[in-house]
Amino acid sequence: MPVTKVGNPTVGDVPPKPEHLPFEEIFDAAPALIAVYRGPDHLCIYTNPAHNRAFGNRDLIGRKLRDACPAREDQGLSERLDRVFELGTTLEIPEFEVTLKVGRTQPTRSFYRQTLQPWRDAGGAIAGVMSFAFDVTEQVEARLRAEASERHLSFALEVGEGVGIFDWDVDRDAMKVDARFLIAFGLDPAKSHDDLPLKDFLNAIHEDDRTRVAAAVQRAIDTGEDYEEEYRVNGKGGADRHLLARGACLRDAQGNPNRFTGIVVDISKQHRDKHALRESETRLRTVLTSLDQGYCVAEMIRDAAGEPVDYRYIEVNPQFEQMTGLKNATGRRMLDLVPNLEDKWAKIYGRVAFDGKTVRFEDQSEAMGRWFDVFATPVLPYGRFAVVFRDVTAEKLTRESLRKSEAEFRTITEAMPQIVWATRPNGHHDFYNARWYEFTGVPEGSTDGEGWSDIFHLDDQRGARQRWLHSLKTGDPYEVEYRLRHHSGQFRWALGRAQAVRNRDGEIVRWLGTCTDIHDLKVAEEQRQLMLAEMNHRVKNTLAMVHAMVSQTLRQADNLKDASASIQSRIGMMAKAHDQLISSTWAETRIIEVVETALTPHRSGEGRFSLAGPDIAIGSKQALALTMALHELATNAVKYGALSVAGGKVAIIWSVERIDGDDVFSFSWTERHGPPVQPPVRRGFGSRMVENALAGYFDGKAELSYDPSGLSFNLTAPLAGLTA
Amino acid sequence: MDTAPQPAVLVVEDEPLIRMDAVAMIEEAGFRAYEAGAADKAIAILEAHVDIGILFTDIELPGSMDGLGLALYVRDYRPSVFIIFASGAVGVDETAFPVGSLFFPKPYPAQTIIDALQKMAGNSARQS
Repeated sequence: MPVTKVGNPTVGDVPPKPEHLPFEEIFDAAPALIAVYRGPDHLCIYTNPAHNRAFGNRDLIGRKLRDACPAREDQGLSERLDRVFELGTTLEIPEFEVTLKVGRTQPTRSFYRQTLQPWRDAGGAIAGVMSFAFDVTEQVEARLRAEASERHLSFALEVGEGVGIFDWDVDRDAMKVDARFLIAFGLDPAKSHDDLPLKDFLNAIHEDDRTRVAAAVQRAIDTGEDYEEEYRVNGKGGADRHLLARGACLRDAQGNPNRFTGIVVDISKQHRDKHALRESETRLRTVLTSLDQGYCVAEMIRDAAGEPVDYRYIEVNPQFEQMTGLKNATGRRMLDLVPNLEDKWAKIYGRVAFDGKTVRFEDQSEAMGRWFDVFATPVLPYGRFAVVFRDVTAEKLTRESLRKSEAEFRTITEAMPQIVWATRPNGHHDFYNARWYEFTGVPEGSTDGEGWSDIFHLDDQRGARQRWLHSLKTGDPYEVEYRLRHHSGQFRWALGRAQAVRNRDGEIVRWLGTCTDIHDLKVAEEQRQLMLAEMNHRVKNTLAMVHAMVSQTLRQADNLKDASASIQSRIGMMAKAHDQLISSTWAETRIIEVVETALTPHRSGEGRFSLAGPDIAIGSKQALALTMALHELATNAVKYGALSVAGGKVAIIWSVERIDGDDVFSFSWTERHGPPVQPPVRRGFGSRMVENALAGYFDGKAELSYDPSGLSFNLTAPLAGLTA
Repeated sequence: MDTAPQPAVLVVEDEPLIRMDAVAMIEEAGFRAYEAGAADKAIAILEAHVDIGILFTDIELPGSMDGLGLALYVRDYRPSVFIIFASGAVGVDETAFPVGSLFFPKPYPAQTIIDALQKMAGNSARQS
């Protein structure tokens, strides 16, 4: 190619042949677009063939750039050249676009990377600028395409279910679709998909749905009805997309189907949501169905004044019928189902539905004959409410009857004179009636649990607790005697007893117990024991006395007949004395009665006895001894003394005198006008009795004196000795 | 015939009639009898009369010292004294009695007592 050269420009001249530039050959061969400019006006002095080709062989040589390229077209090249020329620095333009319209052909767009470099003259001053440009169109366009495609993608993602359009030429079987359609079908919108047959798109549909969709399309064509189908499209990388397609087939003037147009919408998200919703609904339904409580959703109904008066059931679960006895309630109004239902129900549900209150309560409907445990809460939409409830009629009755029976229990236990207590099956005391607190004076509740045994006497605590634990373990009835501390501090004997209360299964559910005050009984029992012991002692003593009397009598008796008579009369006397004692409660008697009793068998009605003395008390022992002594004296007097003859007399005198500051009791027996007295040969029972024993009982002194004028006997003792 | 005098018997019994009978029985057996109704009186008599060689006592006595206490005191004070218990009490623990003592439940047959007394007197005679 001939190289055009630049010389000095002359106006009107044909440009002179350019001088030969040293770099010409090299630049000529370079693939880069090279142009060399000289001077501040950027006179073009060289362009290489590549440059010429790119710029449509436009003749630039010998012309100033600004003249050759209008400002509109040069895209700032002149300014850049200016800058490089001035600053002397190299300038890199990574990319610039050139659109060239050459002839009738479409304008072409190209991209170049350009380097502008100053060149210097021999003196080192900047002489001009060189331009090297590289065609980077391909790279740039690729990049642009990629960017576009990304934009499409992100746009598609943004818009999501944007509506894609299809237009199917039925005769030609040619589909025209838009970008969104392609995106929906998972096809690359940057690639061309024009005029493809329908089959190509059908194949993108999930194989399970394909047949159906094809049939639906055909049906739309045949019948002219609207087309609407949901189907899945095979997704890349896993998830299928759900699409909704809608369309219709149009007919030409002849009535033949010629165009099928429509839209496609990606409903994957809605589908997912719906599926999730369906799943959660199914779950909910399962719960509601298997709930052991009644469940319903109802809508409040208001009257003209806006007051809640009724409600309509929207849905109920299976247990609803069971709990209410209302069949087929769904869709029906409550007042239709139960005409005489109490107002309170509509009122309270009205508050739930309209005021947004969540309530929980237990209440009765007499109209329905049931008790309900209700939980009600508002639900959307406004005016509706959900209720979860239970029929608790049976429980309520049980609770009522339980409460009544407990009230009865209390009434009885509080009225009982005994202490009543109750414990849990484990022995924890949780109830005492009023008697317990009245008796013990402890604060109410202070002996609950295990504190009960602190009220017991220390010596009785362990035994009682052992017995209690045994009963708890075995269920055996509990029975223990113990001393219980009265609030006065005194301990009183009590009998604690308890029985287990069992349920239908035989399990112990409670222990019911009583404490019965047996103190008086126990004390009486102790006294009885004492008395028995005392009596035993006395009986033994009496027997010993009888034994003594009998053995002595026998030792001294001359013959058995005398002995027998003697013994019998003496025993008779002792028996009489005992009778007398019992009639005066065995403790004390009056001395006059003792003397009278003792003398009765010996009286003859002739007034031979004279009695004188104060009316004083005498103890049982002393009474017995005196009786026996008098008996001996009288018997002796009848046999040998004053009473053995007519005219003989016995004077019995007793007195109490104060001698040296002490009260002294004296008792004397004096015989007169009897036969001469002689002391006995030996001491018999009688004399021993009178002289020794009697004094012993009175803690005093006794003396028998055998005075010739008559036997006399004298007893002196401290007054206290009479009743000691 | 023993030349040594018979030991006297100290009868301690709180029931006068029974005491009286015991004294009568002992005296008819040929022994001298002293009597007391309680332990303190008995000790006084014992200290006053050196001829007492036998103690014949009930177990239940009034006052702070019973027959057993009295016996132990006597065993300590005059060990040569023989001891006979007579009692109507039930459940008496004979293991508590001093060694060599005798026990008779009431009512006791007189002859048994007398035999015992005489046996003791014989021993006593051998001792002195």
